[in-house]
Amino acid sequence: MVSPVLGETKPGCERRLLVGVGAILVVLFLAQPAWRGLSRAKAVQTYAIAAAAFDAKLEAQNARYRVGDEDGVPVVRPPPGDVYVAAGRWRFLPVLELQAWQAYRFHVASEDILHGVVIGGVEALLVPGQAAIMPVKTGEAGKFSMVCSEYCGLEHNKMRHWVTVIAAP
Amino acid sequence: MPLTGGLRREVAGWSWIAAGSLAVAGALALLLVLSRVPATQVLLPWSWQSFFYTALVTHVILSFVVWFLAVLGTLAVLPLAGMEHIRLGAFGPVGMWAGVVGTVLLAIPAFLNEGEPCLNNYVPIVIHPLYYLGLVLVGGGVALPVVRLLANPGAIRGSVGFGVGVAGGLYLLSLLLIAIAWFCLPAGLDLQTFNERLFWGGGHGLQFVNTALMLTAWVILAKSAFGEEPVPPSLFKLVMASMVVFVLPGPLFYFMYDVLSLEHRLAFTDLLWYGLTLPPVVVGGGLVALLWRRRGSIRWGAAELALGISLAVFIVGGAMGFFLGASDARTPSHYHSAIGGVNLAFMGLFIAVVLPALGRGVTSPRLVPVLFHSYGWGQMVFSIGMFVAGAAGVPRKTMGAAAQGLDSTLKKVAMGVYGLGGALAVLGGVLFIWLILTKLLARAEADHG
Repeated sequence: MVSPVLGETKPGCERRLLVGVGAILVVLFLAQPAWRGLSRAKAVQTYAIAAAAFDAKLEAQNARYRVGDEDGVPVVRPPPGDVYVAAGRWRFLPVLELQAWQAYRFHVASEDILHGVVIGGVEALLVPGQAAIMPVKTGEAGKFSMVCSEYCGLEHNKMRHWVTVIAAP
Repeated sequence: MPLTGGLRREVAGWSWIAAGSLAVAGALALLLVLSRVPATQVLLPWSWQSFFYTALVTHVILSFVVWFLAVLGTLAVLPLAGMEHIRLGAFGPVGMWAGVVGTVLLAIPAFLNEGEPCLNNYVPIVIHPLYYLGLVLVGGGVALPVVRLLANPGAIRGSVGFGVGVAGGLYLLSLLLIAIAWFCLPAGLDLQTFNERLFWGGGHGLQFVNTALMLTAWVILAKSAFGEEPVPPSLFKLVMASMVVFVLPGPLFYFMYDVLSLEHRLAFTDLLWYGLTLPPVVVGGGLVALLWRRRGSIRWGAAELALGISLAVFIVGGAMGFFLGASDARTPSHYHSAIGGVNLAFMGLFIAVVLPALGRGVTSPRLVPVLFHSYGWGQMVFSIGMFVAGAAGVPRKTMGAAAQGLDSTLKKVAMGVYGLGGALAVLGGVLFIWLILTKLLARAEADHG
């Protein structure tokens, strides 16, 4: 049989093509991360916390490190270490100012429905009643974003939050 | 060979669903534009704020889901032509009429400005009883001719029949995934989250369906244009069957991972990465080789133009898929270009194959090239503009200079290019709808005249 695509090439080519493509398909099928239970999400730790308990930590942080307001939202400048962030339709709270070249541990929790968050390419799902811990190392002064990655309603695509990194005093 | 009798009526019915859904989607797109212009939004009989998202959801469901499923409905009939005895024959007309009624029901809430819109991925929803009923009727209506095709093994032995059979099998699997999600999702969930997760797995399955249909359309068009297939039939069947093998474990994901977990979401995303890459590469590679070998003697008719431009636009869209960001405009640029490639193949299918099979071939020598060039290249320019804008930081699904953050020359130029390409693509789309509708209307006049 002369293969239509191979034109005048030898019939054996078609068989080799079949075997080659078949082998690649088998490898791709077996290599799916789903089988190994591997996931980019495994890197993110979560812990159970009641909404009221998380709110208390958030409020305490905001009261202690507040440096101003932006459109009615507190602007907070916490020291390196634990930082609490609440996700809700369709914003993250509070507005954050972090120091350059420091290490922080973001605790992010949803206060209403299922949301997602991506910080620096690392993603976590925010299930109500749980907080995700996301280590953040700041670089030089500038801005980086937190984005919701789980569809959460009509304004989902506007759920992007900018974190300001300021030069160390 | 023109179709006859009941099969011809079924194909005509699915063609009406295809063209009608695109026409209504186009009208809604126009209303969407009017609803955002201060001078014209006051002319609408309802508040533009509430109308906008309901109309947007309906526009997407008609132009993206119903149009593609109507192609599946059409193709599920064609391989049966010429068969003396067809098992489950009644499934065809019942399915077609369910599709007609369902499509009408889907559009009603938008024009009544009723229901709560939900812009979830793949199968966006207007939370309204008529919309849900329409979705069930369209979904079930397409399943019936698919089941009939699979019940007639003689019709799915050749490459085209096999390709349609694979697309049909993938479609039934997608419906199964949606049904399993329905049972797995907890009660009392927020409806936006519920709809997102309800259609997540099945929506990914539908992308396999769309790809299978496009690859089959490429084979049909290549046979029509050149009298040969892009790849050997055995290779074509191998890569098509592989798509079923990849989606078959989909139901397992619901038992491996919580339906609301990130792992569940990523498992289906990975399914596209691992299962949907090679088939278009193999068939597209064969098509490139075929076009190259025939380059000196190609007569650029409808089938040849559809093949060539569909391939080019799909390749660009596929390549963009490897450079996506998080929630910026690169994601829609990727899928608009990939969908553009699929649309071009389907447009070619209707003009070069379906209309002639209905005894209404397109004879206009000027309109067809204008249609393909303007839609195809317009869609490509539109997508490239959107991709560059996304890479520069413009977020997806936002409108207005402030929300899009158009604070640099690059972003503004990219969005300008995007607008120009979009206008060209709209022109091509309008020409296609006009062409199909006039041909279908002419057929009705001829039949009754």
